Amino acid sequence: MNSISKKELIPLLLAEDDKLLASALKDFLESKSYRVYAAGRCDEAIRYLDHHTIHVALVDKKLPDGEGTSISEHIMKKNMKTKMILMTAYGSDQRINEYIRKGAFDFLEKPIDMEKL
Amino acid sequence: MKKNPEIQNKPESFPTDLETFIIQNHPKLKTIFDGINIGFLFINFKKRNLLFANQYFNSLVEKKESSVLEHICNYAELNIDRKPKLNLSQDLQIKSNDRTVLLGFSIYRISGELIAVLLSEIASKSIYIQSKQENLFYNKFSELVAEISHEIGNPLAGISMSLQVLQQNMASWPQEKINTYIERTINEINRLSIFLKSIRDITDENKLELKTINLKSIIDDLYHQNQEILKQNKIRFRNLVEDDIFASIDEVAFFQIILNLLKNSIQILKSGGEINLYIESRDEYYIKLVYRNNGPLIPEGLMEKIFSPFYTTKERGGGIGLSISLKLMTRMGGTIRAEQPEGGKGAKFGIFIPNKAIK
Repeated sequence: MNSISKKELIPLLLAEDDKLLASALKDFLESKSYRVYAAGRCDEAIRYLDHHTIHVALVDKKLPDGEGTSISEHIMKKNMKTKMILMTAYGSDQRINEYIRKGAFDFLEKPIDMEKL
Repeated sequence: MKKNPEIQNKPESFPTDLETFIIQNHPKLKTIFDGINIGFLFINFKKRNLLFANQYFNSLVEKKESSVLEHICNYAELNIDRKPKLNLSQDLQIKSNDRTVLLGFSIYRISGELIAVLLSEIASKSIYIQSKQENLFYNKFSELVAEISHEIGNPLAGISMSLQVLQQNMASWPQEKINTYIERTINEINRLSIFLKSIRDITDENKLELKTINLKSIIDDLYHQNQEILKQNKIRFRNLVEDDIFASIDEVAFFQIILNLLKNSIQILKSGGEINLYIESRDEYYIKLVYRNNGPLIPEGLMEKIFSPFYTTKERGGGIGLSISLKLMTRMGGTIRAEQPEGGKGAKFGIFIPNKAIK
């Protein structure tokens, strides 16, 4: 099997402050042909978005410096094509409409099921 | 003032005509009585004459003036001689404008047959207050539950993900990488245990022992214990508390309160940071100790929130230090709060310590 060259990797932003989850997700996603940009905070994530073309953003709902939806709002404001998936820690079903309005494309409930991911 | 004809006639003897007297001689007094949202009456309870009623009373009881008056007079007549030194209070339910109103009244004997009565609607007010309090409680409770489930949910998600990735790659990964994964997972489980212990710390109710303590010396002790770490982080610590300040506190609890602030500062302050402790004011009740650093300003909207359990702005940390500090301080009869710093720079905490004069 040919190894995938760097150019073919899909750029993905991972915004998650829990270091264990972030490193496991990073390993998993890298094994699935993603180039992972890992950020632990909203401001760091926004910097990556502004300086790289990111196809998918996997964002924790709650980050130390703000709500994950502030990142999707940034994506909408700047008309970026990035699709953002929000990771929610607890059953936040009632607020799904609010997240969609704020630009989230899909949701993943924690603990994350790898199959689903 | 609108009067009910049945109770309009004023007694000749005493006082001749209280209302006219007030209007003629003290017009401002009448305005004041009419301006307050409490019913106010003067009654001769033996003769059952209403001598004065303010506007609020009239609007409250509408057409039920005479029955309210009768009830108050009956109650006064029955009880006033039995409990001459006490103020008499009772509830009374009336139907006014198709609405059931629960009134509470207190009777004060002025002299002989003359009584003053304060009267207000208590039902709607008490329901409103109760609803407000319950709402506040549930809001705080929901915030707490959200914080706790985040604190537990996140490590659990990490543990679950790690084990799933590990399971999938076990066969192909080198032993070293597998070990790293297992180690990280164990660490996360330990973190959960520490978090659960911190919940216990918050609910812990160890007995406090209040003693008269010299504030300067206890802060000096704290400084000496943390001298090394302050030096490593190039943080300047100044204890500007005067020598002669004593307060009634539990030494261990107070030490922990200041230590929590210090630990936060060490994490937040960059090299060149400064911490100053000084007495800003003191009176017979409280000594106000100020803890100030030149770190980032605490946004006004967060000043109260940072004392909520599990609330944190740090990437790592349970967010319980300040809530424990607040709890300990209030148990000692004082309080601690974040304040707007003069000059708008740095973080400022006001610690209100009961003066030793308080019994």
